[in-house]
Amino acid sequence: MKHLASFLFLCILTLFPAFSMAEDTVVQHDRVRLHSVQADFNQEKHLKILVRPLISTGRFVFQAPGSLRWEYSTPLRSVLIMHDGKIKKYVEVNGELVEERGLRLDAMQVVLGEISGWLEGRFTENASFDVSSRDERTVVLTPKKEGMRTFIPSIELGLADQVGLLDSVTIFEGPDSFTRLLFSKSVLNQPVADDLFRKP
Amino acid sequence: MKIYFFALVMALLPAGCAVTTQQLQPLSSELTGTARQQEAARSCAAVFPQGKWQFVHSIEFAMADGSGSSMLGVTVLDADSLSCALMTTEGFTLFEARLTDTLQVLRAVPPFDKPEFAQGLMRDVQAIFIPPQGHNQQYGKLTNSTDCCRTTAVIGRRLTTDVLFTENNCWQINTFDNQQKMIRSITARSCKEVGATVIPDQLDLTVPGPAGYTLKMTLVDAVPGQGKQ
Repeated sequence: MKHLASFLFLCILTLFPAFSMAEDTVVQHDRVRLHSVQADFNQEKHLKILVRPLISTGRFVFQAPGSLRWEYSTPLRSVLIMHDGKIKKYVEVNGELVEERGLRLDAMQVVLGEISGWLEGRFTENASFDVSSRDERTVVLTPKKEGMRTFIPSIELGLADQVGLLDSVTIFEGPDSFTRLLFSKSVLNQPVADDLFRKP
Repeated sequence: MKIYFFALVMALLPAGCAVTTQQLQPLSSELTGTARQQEAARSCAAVFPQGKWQFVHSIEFAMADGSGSSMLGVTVLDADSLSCALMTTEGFTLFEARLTDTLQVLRAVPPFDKPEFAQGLMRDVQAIFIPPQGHNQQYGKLTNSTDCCRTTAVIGRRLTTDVLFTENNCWQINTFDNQQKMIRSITARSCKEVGATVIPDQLDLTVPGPAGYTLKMTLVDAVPGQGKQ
């Protein structure tokens, strides 16, 4: 289950749509001092077998230095919360959010460390991904480890006009399989209620 | 107006008459007459989706040791194939496979990459969505008056599958091995008719035994397919 947990949380955290890019990254982007980010997202899941893509919607909230709330509202409500170095996940069962047990927290801690580095502008120092650019608005992340590339060949980040935000994230899982997140209503550096990271 | 043979009988049955015995029961009475058998066969066929469909379920699974988790399951049916995928609730694909004449695993992330897992999963998915294969069909009642369509097949070993009709137009599918011992039970709840198909909001699949497990599947989306878009 360690691999699974690693993939899952690398995915989630890589989706994180706001970070300031360091000057040494391949895409030059001014720094922005980041305190918090909030945005809605629309997620399209494409698979070879699907008749039509699966659509999910939700909202995320990030607060520096490492608190994240990643919440799906449809089609299945679930909430992932990272706060104070702990990670919890809740899934709706019979109308109530129930905490999932048995997640491997060790892998999550490692990834939290990485996202913190990105937020501090140490993007190319990332231990998990090589960074390149397809054009001036698209950053391509390629997993360094072959084992991970088998399941996630690459991730593309679409930069937004506003510094520190992303328009989209596309996670490629194979030739016909990818997940695309489109962000909207993004808000930078607005106050965030602390209890968003304490309870689902 | 479409009248199902079992509808009247079901209305007369007391609530909670679904059978969950661990042993195959004999049919106490068998339907005779071609017309009645055909009507019963139509009722049984309605348990399984007709035509092209794409189903999405949230799946809670519980192992015999009490551990478990939730994920999303996608099942795509068409005339030639049965495809399925398992994903995390965040959409990361853990397993993807297509079954035609052969099973093709398109993606399998550890620990879902064992051949036994793929075969077991597809057997479960087939049991839910595909009518049981077999030449020997019987229609009748169990000893407690539950209506039953029984299919017997010899596929390596003798397997008997009972489709039972429960209250509120729902159903249960029980499969027994050659020792007449139950090896799988699927119970549908909160069923609704969509065309010729009865689609349940809830499916509980139980494989008994020390290595057994239970899947609780809640319908998230059911889309009649018109070909890949």
